[in-house]
Amino acid sequence: MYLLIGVWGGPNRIYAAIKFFLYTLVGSVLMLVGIIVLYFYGGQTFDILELVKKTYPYEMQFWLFWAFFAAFAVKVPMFPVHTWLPDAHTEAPTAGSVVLAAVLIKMGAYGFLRFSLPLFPDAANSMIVPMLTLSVIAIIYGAVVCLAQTDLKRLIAYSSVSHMGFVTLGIFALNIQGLEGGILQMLNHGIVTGGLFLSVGVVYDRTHSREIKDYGGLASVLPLYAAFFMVFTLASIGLPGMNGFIGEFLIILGGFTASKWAGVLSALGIIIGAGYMLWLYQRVFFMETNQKLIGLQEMDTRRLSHYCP
Amino acid sequence: MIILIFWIGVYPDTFLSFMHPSVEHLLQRLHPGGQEMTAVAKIMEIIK
Repeated sequence: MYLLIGVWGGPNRIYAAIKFFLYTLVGSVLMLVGIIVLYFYGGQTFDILELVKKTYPYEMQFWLFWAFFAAFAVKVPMFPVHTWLPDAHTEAPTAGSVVLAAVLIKMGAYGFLRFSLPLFPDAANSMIVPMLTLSVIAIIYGAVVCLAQTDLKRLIAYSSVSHMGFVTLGIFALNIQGLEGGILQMLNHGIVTGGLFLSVGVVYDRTHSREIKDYGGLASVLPLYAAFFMVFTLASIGLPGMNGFIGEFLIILGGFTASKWAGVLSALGIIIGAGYMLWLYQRVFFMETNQKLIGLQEMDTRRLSHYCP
Repeated sequence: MIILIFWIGVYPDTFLSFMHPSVEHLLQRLHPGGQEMTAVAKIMEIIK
């Protein structure tokens, strides 16, 4: 990913690639220290199944949890270590943004599920409140910042921060609804946000602009493209009958079971989410048609095939 | 992608049933001795 951004990225690619590298490095170094401690304390083995069978004292679990958390929180990314993501998404080429959104940031959530929770269950149980708080902040903050964005990719990147807040909220609710919703939402986010980045790439290839103000009236110029974008937008919002609804509903249910405030505030995030996505759709596809967009060719079979996973 | 969006939205159990054994195993580690119902069963109980 570092090379994808650094070599094939936009004008600010070096800044974005180095920022991405440094954030990941700092988190990974702390995790490496945690792995080494675990190796010596867990019977000199790296076998995860063997390490999970052992029980560690609470104080050790606490410090190791935070060491692993440093790496996974950067990867998710959780608030306040999310700032590399909008830069990386904005500068990455379309394919890089899709891989980043659909696969790479899920590694952090997978790490929580695969390592942090089973290895350090006592620490995870005692960290519910700070984890839910950080998740809710990510949901609300990511959604509010989206309202102020003028760049299409940057807006979708911040919506990823908000959506990944839902994933971590579900995971750290530590109940079955939250965990199943969190895992399902990882899949949902990969499909929907990957689709949104692909869609932005379709028009960026032709107009070479990601500024929302450079669009307008695209629905009359590219109706098929507008229909695809509408499906991704509605799925991102969480419309019933679409994948986003199931994931977010389970997460809110799980969050509400763990903490009433977390449930209520995360639901507020969905409302703001509907606001910024529909507003984006209105500004890009409706309103007055930008004269520069007239004559753009509708999606051909090759471009449509990009939507096949 | 569009098919997947609607498929997960209409038949989520296709995917939830896959992950359920792993999630239950993880929950047993997190809350030893705790009996957990499936997410769908729990929702149905709340509705009732």
